[in-house]
Formats: sequence, C-alpha cells, structure tokens
Amino acid sequence: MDRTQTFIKDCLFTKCLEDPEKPFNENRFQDTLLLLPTDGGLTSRLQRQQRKSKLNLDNLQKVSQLESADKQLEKRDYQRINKNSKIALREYINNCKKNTKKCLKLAYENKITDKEDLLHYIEEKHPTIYESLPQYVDFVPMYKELWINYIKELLNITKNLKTFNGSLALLKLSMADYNGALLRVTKSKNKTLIGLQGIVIWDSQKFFIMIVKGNIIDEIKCIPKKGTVFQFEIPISDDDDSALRYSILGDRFKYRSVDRAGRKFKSRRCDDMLYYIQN
Amino acid sequence: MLVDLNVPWPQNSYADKVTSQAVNNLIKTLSTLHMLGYTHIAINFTVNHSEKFPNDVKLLNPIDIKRRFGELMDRTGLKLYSRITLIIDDPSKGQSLSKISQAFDIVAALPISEKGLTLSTTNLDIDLLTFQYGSRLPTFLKHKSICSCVNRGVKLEIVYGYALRDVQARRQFVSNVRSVIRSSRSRGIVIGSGAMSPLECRNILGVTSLIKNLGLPSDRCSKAMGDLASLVLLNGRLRNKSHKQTIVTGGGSGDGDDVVNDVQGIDDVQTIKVVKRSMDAEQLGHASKRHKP
Repeated sequence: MDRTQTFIKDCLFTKCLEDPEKPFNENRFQDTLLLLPTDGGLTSRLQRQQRKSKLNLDNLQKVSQLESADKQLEKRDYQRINKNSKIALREYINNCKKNTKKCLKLAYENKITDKEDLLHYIEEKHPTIYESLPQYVDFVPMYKELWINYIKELLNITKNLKTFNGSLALLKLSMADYNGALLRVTKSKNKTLIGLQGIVIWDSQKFFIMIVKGNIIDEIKCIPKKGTVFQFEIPISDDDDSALRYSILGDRFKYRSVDRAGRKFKSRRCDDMLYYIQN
Repeated sequence: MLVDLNVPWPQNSYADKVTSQAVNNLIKTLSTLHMLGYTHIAINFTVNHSEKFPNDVKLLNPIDIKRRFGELMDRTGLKLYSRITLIIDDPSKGQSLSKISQAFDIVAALPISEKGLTLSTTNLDIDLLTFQYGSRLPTFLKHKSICSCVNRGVKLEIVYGYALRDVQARRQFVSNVRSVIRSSRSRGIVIGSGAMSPLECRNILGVTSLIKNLGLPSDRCSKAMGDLASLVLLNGRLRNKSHKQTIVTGGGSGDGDDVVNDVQGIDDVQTIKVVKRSMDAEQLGHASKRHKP
C-alpha cells in the first residue's frame, strides 16, 4: 500500500493533491474512536411526558394550584398565560355548545316549549348543566351599558349632528373594539346565517363569537367573517328613536382587534364581494 | 340588475353652460334606457385631466343628480350615479385624483397617448379604463399591461354608441374592440352605451349580438352588463362611503339598502346614514328576518 505506482503518483496525484508524496492527510486519522455521550433515553422520556402533559382545563387548574399566583403575573410567563387563556376560551365555547345541545335534547324529550320552563327544569334536575349554560341576559348590560357608551364617547355623538364628521367616524370605527357590540348578519354567502343577531363576546381573527338569544335556549355561535356583512346601529340619544347605521364588511376585517388598532387598511379589488350587492 | 355605465353629460368642460334642452334630451335618453330594462345608470362627465378644476368640492360635480333627476328617480325607480372620465394626455400636467374622486361615484380614465396609457394602467386609482373607440387607439395594447390592470380590479369599458354613428367611426370601433378583447383575453370587460340620443340605446339582446360578433362570448356579454358593471359601481361607491372597504355607512338588510342601491339614503356631504332604530337587544337572535330567496 505504501508504495504507490509511479503512474498514479505522477499523473493523477500531482493533478488533484497538493503534495503527491503524501496522498493521505494524517490529521484525519485519530488514535481512538470517539463516542458521543448519550442521554440515557432522556429525550424519548421527555417526549412521552410532553404528550401526556398536553394542556386542557383540568390539569391547568392543577398547575395553577402548584404555582403561586404572583409568579404567574411575572412578565416572562406572559406567553404561557396567553396560551392558557386561549385554551380556556376554546373549552368554554365547546362546553357551552355541548350543554345547549343537551338542553335542546332534554326539551325535546320532555316536550317543553317554553324558555322559562326549560330553565326551571334544568335548574332542578341537572344543576351542573345549568351552571355552565350561557345566559343572554347576562351579556345584555355589556352591550347596553358598556359598548354603547364607549362607542358614543369614541365618535363624540351629540344630539346635534350638524357638526358630525362622517369620514373621521368611519376611520375611528375601523379601529374600534367590537367586544360587546350588537351585530346582525345582513348579507352572507351562507344564506342560513342571514338574520342572525347577537352580542359579540369575542372578536377573533376570523370569527365573531356571538351569543344569540333563542326561542328556547340561548346559544353561542361562531360566525365567520369571510363572506359576511354585519350591520350595527348606534343610537343618537336615549329618548329619540333615530340611530346611525353602519355595516362591517367581514372580508376586509379579518384582523384581531389588537392588530387592527394601528393598521393601515388598503382597498383591494372587490370581485369577491358580489354577494353584497345582489339580493 | 342591468347596468349602463356611460350616458354622456352635455358638458365638455367646467366652463360650458348646460342648456335645459340638453338636460331634457338626457332625461329622454334615461327613460328610454329604463324602458329597455336598465336599472342602474351612470351619467358620464368627460373632462380633460389638465384642465383647471374648481377648488370648492361642491362645485366639482356639475351634474347635481338629486336636484335635476330626483323626480325621475322617484317615478321610475332608476338608480343614477355620477361618473367622471378624465382624458389623459400628458400625465405630468394632471392633478391628484383623490380630491376629484370625492365628488363622483365612479372615476374613469381615457388615455389618448402612450404615456397616459402606461400611467393609467399602473398607478392611477381608477375604476374604469375606456378608450376613444371612434378613432385610432393611442398604441398597440399589450396583454401584459392590460391584464395586470384588470387583475388590479380596474375594468375595461366598451362603448357601443360609436358603432351606431358614421361609417368611419364604425370601422375603427370594430378593430379597436377586437384589440381590447384580444389584449384582455376577454376578462374584466364592461359594456356601456354612450348614447347621446334615445335612438342610440339598445337592450341587452341587441348589445350581446353586436359584441358577440366581435369575439366576446355571449355569457361574458351578459356578465359585462350585469355583475361586472355592478362591481365597478361597488368599487366606486366604497371609495367614498367607506373607510378603505372595512366599515360602510348604511346597512344591507332589505332590498336596496346596501351602498350601491341606496342612492338617496346616505348623506353625501357627511357620509352618514340616519335611520329609525331597528335593532334592539331584546329581539330574538335568529330568523327574526330570515332571508327568502
């Protein structure tokens, strides 16, 4: 092996190696075989644990019991709190939906057609379901006392509308907060949504989550912003009957209220909004 | 809805005077169009872009639809809109569109030079691109620039009124329309009448048979006078009546309550709509007013 043939040395090695005498770089060889230390199965164990500790509402409470309350308020935990609140909201919505379904089933089985009768019945027989039922009445003050006053203050509405600046109001409305607003779906690609009306309890990026007053039971509905037009009214004064009417084009409104505040909106081609002008 | 986006206004600059005879003639044209089934009509004021515009916003729109045509609208149920067409020759001389577009529902551009064409296909914030079909096009229309313009949301207009006047204009009209259809790959085309007298109005069948001969498929023809033309109206109305297409004044529940159909309800100066309260927190949430198709 040591004796390289002259042809190879002269013709091939000279071409591709710097030193034809030493075809192999000796630094490349090491005396001992190196082995990397292993973690003794730690990663697989961690992965298993992670899968087990996937968050839901039950073990969330355990975690919060373990940790003291003030520790959670620290800033470095912000991300985690944020994550948890998202999960909690999702769980709440799913829970409400599940319970309203159960209630409807109960109403059907017992042939109850009145709202109050049903509520009494559930309160007596199924107190756990009753506790987690969303009640429209609870949310009405959110609209009547909070949101109307907020929006009136924001737009500076007085009885005298002569000095009211419409375009400035539109700009402010595009940045306003709609949690607690009373919205009605007026036009939609999905015809079954038309006519729905409810109070917004959460304004997410792609959905308005509303509580809707029903004949028998109040429901929580997630209404997609895409392909839907929402209408709302701002009463000018309490004793008068007149109001200002505006609509939200859901297709151009797909941002969370936090992101919307400092946003510069842009007009786009509106070929997707043909449903808005067709009856 | 059947839409005609181009009925000329008898004035070619701000200095011209409007005679009552011309307005009467226009009203006759409008009622003829109404007889032929049109529901939405835009009155077109053509003006040179380099001309001096009045400073006052109120003087910017000479058409004054509410005063002159309010009676006609009430009687027939027509919806009238104002449109401005800017003749663009040298882009450096013109002024900004933002102020002009406040006073009109639709803004259109009519380039008569190559520079004007490149400007209006790329930069200008317009709803419509139209040409002088009676004379030669300013330049050979390229598919790339026209289609990028259509993708932006600007529609191309064909004015069939030129085909009904004299032989010379008709010859140019045929070649121009064919070149417009070719360069846009028959996408985003709307058709307007440009009728100066009641005799130049045609109904949808007449227009379709004419334009179909020139190479536009007949389904696109009926779309060009219905859906696409109403999109132009929507685009134009949303510019003034909404904040960047997010929040719009007025609602959309009943018939003719949205921005396009609601011509009379929205206050143009203040851009607000005052209504009687119809929404109450005590109302039932669903199916209170279920839509019946």
